[in-house]
Amino acid sequence: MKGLRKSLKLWVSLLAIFLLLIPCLTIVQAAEQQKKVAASSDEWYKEWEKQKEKDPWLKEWYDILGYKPKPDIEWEKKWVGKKIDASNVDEVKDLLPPIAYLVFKNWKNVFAYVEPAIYNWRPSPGFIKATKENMGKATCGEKWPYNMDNFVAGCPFPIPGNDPIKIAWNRDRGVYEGDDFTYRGIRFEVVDPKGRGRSVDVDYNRLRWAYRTTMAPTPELPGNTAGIYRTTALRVYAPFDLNGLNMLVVKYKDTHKEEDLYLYVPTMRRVRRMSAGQRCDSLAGTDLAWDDSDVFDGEVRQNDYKFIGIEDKLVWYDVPYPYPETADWAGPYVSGLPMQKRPMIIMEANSNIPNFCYKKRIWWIDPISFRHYNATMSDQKGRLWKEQYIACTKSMKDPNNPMNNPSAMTQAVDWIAQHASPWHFMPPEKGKNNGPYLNTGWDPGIFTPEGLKKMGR
Amino acid sequence: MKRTGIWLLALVFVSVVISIHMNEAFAFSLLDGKLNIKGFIKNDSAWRTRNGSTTGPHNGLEGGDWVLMRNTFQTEILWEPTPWFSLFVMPRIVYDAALDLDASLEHRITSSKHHDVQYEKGIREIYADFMLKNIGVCGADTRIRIGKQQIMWGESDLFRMADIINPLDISWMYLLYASVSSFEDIRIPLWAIDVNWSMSTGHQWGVELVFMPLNFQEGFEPHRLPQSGSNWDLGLPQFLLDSVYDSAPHNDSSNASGGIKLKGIFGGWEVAVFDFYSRVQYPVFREDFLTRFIGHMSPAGVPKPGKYFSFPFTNKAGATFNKYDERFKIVWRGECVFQFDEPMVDQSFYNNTFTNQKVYERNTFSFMLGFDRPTMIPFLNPNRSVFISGQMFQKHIFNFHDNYMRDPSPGGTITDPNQYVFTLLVSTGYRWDTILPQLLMAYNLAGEGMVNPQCEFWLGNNWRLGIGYHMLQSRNTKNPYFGTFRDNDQVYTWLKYQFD
Repeated sequence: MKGLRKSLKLWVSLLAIFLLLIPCLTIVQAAEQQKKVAASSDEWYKEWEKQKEKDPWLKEWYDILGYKPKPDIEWEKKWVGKKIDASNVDEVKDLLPPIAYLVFKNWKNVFAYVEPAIYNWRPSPGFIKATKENMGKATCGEKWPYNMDNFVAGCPFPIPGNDPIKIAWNRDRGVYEGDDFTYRGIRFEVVDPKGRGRSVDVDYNRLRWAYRTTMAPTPELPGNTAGIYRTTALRVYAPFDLNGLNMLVVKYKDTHKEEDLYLYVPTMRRVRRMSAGQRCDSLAGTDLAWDDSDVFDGEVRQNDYKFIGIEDKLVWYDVPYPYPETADWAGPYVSGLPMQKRPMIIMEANSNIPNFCYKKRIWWIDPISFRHYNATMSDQKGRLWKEQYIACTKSMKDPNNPMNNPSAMTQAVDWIAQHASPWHFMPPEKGKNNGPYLNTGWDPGIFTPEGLKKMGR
Repeated sequence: MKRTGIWLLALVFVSVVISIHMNEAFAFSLLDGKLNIKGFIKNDSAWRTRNGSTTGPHNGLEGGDWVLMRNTFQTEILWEPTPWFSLFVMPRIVYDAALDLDASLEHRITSSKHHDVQYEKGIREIYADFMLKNIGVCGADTRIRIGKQQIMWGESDLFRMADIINPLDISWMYLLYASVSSFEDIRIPLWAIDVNWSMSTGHQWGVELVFMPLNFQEGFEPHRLPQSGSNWDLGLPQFLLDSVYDSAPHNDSSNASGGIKLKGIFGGWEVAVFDFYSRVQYPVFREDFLTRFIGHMSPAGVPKPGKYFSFPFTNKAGATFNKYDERFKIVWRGECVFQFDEPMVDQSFYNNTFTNQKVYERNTFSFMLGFDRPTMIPFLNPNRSVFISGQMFQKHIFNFHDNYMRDPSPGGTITDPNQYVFTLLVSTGYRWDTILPQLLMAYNLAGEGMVNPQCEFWLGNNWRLGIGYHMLQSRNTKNPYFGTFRDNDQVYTWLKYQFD
């Protein structure tokens, strides 16, 4: 009995210490995070210069862009380390995409953390060199169909100014995502606000055939007589009845040529050619349309553009993988991931296809990488309808550029239907090598209709 | 019920109970993710809605009869120890409880055949894949697949033309229960070597070689036909059905078959040409049938099975194409097959006079033209396209004399040298592709057709539930595709639990 009392006392003491420690640790953690925010702009720029000295390619990239960051130190002092949720989202309403704000406000258990904005991303040395060597060569029309000519490789218009056509071409052909990539172990979910629905597990692979900058051969694969720009191959593993479904999308250098779509259907044991012509068609039953793949997977000429401005916005700029412990996948929205307040190019991209499903589309594009971070779509009645956000990360493996930031997660919300289609990487598992990989040296063999068949059963 | 049946049904029941209590699908992934086991448990059931014709083989079958209660447990095991080698195994166990549930159905089928009708177990497919990179002058990729497998050529749905390598199990007419995409479940896998070599650039030239040595399987495998007395009885007496398998050729290399396919892409046209040399997969009466039949008869005059059929070799050469038309957002596809010396049989075999026991050889030409178009029809479905797919099949028999010749496939009823069949498939998805309705129609200009609406429901990742209806129409019972089955209208359902 004495021994038992002693043990109990010890456990209660330990428990009390533990419970007291948690808030202390949190305060320390917050304090640590607060420490990451520079004390002043001058200090921030000093640190930044140091980074550029350590990484000359970073300096090179920013010199090419002619871009100088303007971090909002005072705002970061107040918000870094804090949680944004329904209780305080009104304070940052103007910084969030409109539907994201509504989701934070109305759906349960949706939250994010704020981290300082980083400006240490750059593309690979090969991409930077190609951009510099070809600077000034590419031209694009001011009027429809906005054709771009003389583009070789790299970013076609690194200093686009307020020209939305040039920005659109940068986002279409001038984003560094490696000369190939594999996103292994992705889970697409199609769920309601309670997280009920279904999911599809895939590997997502892409190969650039043209405009290559980083892996030999550059700038184009030999024998590319078909004029392929890039091919994307999706391999489905689950659920069972979709296991073995392999999809191939072929996009051409000639932007007037529609993409080709092939599907290996395992129950038919053959490759079926499909039509990707219905851009408003739901993408595999998700909340996204075909046009929304990669936020926008159509051609530049399919939209008319209007530059609105450059504004500071909250985006998921650098989500680490493996995901942080705060990440919560339980609901329809991936919660608990870090966001940064940083400048985004805001522009309209409204389809000129007759009877298109969206009346208006607002894009947010990063002025440093020209990656697409957000798109908000309205229906034909002008109602807020869908929104899609991309979160980026540094690659798990990119031998040519450890600073790269391919996608780590996508949120897609249909606000009218109250439904969501997020995708994220599944956690690392032994032997599965989940995560993003760039510049792995993909063989073009699998990116052909016969390649789909060979991968299938 | 029989013991095995009880055991299998219990397995299904326990699996269902376990799955209901599990929060998420159980996944089997072993050896650091290199060995994956997936599979499903499924029940297919069907009920007749019409009485069988009093003059045909379905006389006695009634509306309301539970004619199918098929339970399937199938797994797919994939082992990928290296990027260049993998092993795939697909075992399957099937138990059809219909005969145990319906005594009237049980008594229609010879008791010695009950086991064949009710049970199926074994390894459906087992093959090894070897992936070789940079082979040959042009540095192409090659996949060599060796084992028991299905090999599919062609662009057609529902009816087969270039899909000529594997025979079909039509013993339970699964073809009509499934969507057009499910030939996989009824194609009979064969032991074969399939070499697929293709380039990735230029015209993406490809060569596929298929060789079936027939040294590893039990024997030549024809189409598996329905048993006499079963719901899909073709009207053939049991002894003739038994004779089909008795007549199968010996298992030796002289019965090997093989073929080659060449393909490439030219200006958006994906084109392939092929040639395949093999035996026909349906039985053809031998010219000495009557002599053999009389010689095999028992002293009491009871017909007995014997080698009454042959499966002659023929050569089939053909081509396929597909092309995406940007203007109309349509995928056009087509295929054609020229069959050399396809056997035709004298009509006296089928009118039981046997006055001229002749097997003729005729060249035939078949082709299919089809289109696929996903179309947005907002009033039907505002968010999802409606997939519309149409096909026209035509077959011409050269030098066919309809006054005395019969095409023995399927069953000696074709008397027209030109056959035209049209199909139309319409499908879409609602509620984020969790409700999948489909309508399939087929029509033969000879005056017969089929209408098949069905709908599948996806309940999460693991459960699938479906319901459908077959309506078969024919002017007379002699029409080749649905004539014998024009009274076989059925409601069917399926319930599936899948794991991955």
